[in-house]
Amino acid sequence: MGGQRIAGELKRDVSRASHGVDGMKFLRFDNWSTGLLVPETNKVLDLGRSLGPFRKINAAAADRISGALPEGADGSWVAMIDNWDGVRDSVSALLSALSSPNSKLVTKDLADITLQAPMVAKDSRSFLSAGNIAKHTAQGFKVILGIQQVAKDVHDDVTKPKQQGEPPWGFSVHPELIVGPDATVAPPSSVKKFDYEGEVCAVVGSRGRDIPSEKVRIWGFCALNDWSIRDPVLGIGPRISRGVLSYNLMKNFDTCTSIGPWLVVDEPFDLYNLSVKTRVNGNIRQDWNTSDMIYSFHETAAFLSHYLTMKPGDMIASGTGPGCAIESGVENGLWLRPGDQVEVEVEGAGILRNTVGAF
Amino acid sequence: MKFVRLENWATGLVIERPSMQILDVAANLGALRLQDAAAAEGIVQVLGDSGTASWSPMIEAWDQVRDHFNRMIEAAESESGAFVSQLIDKVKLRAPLPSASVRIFALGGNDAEHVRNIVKAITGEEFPADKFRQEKRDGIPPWGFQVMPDTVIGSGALVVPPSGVQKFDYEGEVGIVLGMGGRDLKAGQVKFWGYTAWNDFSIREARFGIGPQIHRGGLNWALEKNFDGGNACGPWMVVDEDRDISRLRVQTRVNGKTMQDWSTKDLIYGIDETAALISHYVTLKPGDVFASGTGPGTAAESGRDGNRWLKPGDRVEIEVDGGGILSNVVGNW
Repeated sequence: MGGQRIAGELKRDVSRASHGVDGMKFLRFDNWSTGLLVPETNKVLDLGRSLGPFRKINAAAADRISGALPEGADGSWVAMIDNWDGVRDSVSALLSALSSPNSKLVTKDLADITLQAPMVAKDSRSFLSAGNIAKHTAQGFKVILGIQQVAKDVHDDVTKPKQQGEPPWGFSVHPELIVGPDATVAPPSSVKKFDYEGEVCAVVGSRGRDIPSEKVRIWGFCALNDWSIRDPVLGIGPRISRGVLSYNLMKNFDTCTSIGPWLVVDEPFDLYNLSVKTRVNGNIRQDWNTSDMIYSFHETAAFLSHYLTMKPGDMIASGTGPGCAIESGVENGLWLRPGDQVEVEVEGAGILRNTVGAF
Repeated sequence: MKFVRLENWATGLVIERPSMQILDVAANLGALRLQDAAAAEGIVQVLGDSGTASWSPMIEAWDQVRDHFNRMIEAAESESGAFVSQLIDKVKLRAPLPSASVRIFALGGNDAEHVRNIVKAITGEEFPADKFRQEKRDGIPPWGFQVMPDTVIGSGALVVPPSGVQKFDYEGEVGIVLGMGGRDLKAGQVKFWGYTAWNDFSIREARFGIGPQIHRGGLNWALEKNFDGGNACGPWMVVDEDRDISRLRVQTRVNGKTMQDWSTKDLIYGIDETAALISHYVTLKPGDVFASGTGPGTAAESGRDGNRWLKPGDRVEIEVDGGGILSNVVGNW
């Protein structure tokens, strides 16, 4: 789970995103320890190292936070999320304590630190959606199936299954393959057609089976890039999958998913009206809104919970909108190349930036 | 040697004399230290003080640490020291997995007779016996699915499918643990560390076009296999370096009646070939698990209205050569 330096350009986005809201942004330092972005600044509070000094200011709140992190600040956040209603105000108080004189809380400059993927636990599960934004799906099918133009009925074919009661679909990524902001990503050396997919990742706060969608609780969200090997669906190179089940290797390779830079928690954003922009070397490739999702995060979580006990930290990704390289055909200038810088910007959640490495 | 996971994830060893007992490794380090301090220290280095750590470091260093574990077993079996063990029937065991977050790759459609029977049961189509091996010769890769590690239960646990399931099936298999790691491995290089009996319980109705659809599209969550309790393994992980894992007999019994009896020599794709494919994409590591795929005799092969579908109260046992008996009872749903 590599991560490198967060570049200075994020400063603008930080101050804009946190303006006037009372939520918080959780992140993971390079050593996996927990950090919180300090509102209105470019500083990060080191939660683990601040609990001691905070205890002198507000012992009860400090105890509640350490009680919710039984594995320590570099452990899982699952217990904290399970007990979020009892911890939230204590975390807010910790951030507010920064303004008290001589608080001795420990902060660092964002520009000086390396961040990891902001996962709730190292083994958090992920459920990424596929074919969940009609225009992307229709344009992708057109290229894969060799259809000359996107007919109206192709668009209908994409949205109809939900109306007919069919389930959402997607795949999971092994948690060890997920990387963080500024990590270098690369597909295996044999790959010819490498693509980006800018998405939103929602982090589940609920626990249980057979949860109705209206009861699903989403704890936070962040930007996600679902890096994709397209060769097999375009009939290039060796086949890597067949049959009715799949290892999903087009989406499961070392560094295949990046998330970050931080999780936005408890801020008054509408999950279903978030702008998602993807830029490659500064050029806009994707610009869509989560209002276009066919299956909502809540519906997908509810569906999964019929089979699996959902738990805090489970990640559900939106699926991507239009503008991926594959949508422009087999031969085009949009496929990723080594050295490309790819940014996914999700409204209110900052910019997830990664560089494509050699392949 | 047989490794188990106790309820709190502590590592245990099975000792066979004077009777089948479970030895909690961490709890017996003191007794071992009195007889062989170096062996005790060697075990702590790879397993930690509590024994709950991942087995990956132990597997990676297996050639260096094997004898330390042998020493502990010999010393405990000779009853020469202050070793404490419990009768195996008195101990609740988890799935003997290398870690709670282990990666698991399960193979699908990997036995020609099973695949031919199931295709016939679902579609009525008859395939020549050689079709699936021919596909392999034509360069078509193995296929399968990811197993979520927290869906895996141990021997003795109750298996309960989600509500509404109509066609519930067993699949007797072997779970095999990788002994090495790396990227772009060649099939011939792949080494294994251990194996265990595996049951890949399966929800089948969607395959027969009844009940709600579980998935669609070219990618999937494999929820017909990845439901809570949808995989079982155990009772222990066998490390038997003289045994050929490509010649293991696998038997499945439901309420004592044999339903499956086949050998891993019949598998179309070897686990080593599957590991080689996956390692082009993913850096594999010691402790990654592969489930072999099943042989003929599953309920689905007897058709939608066959009489082999699992019912509440059924006891399902998987027995693999040298691997003990994995036993699970189907709960009410």
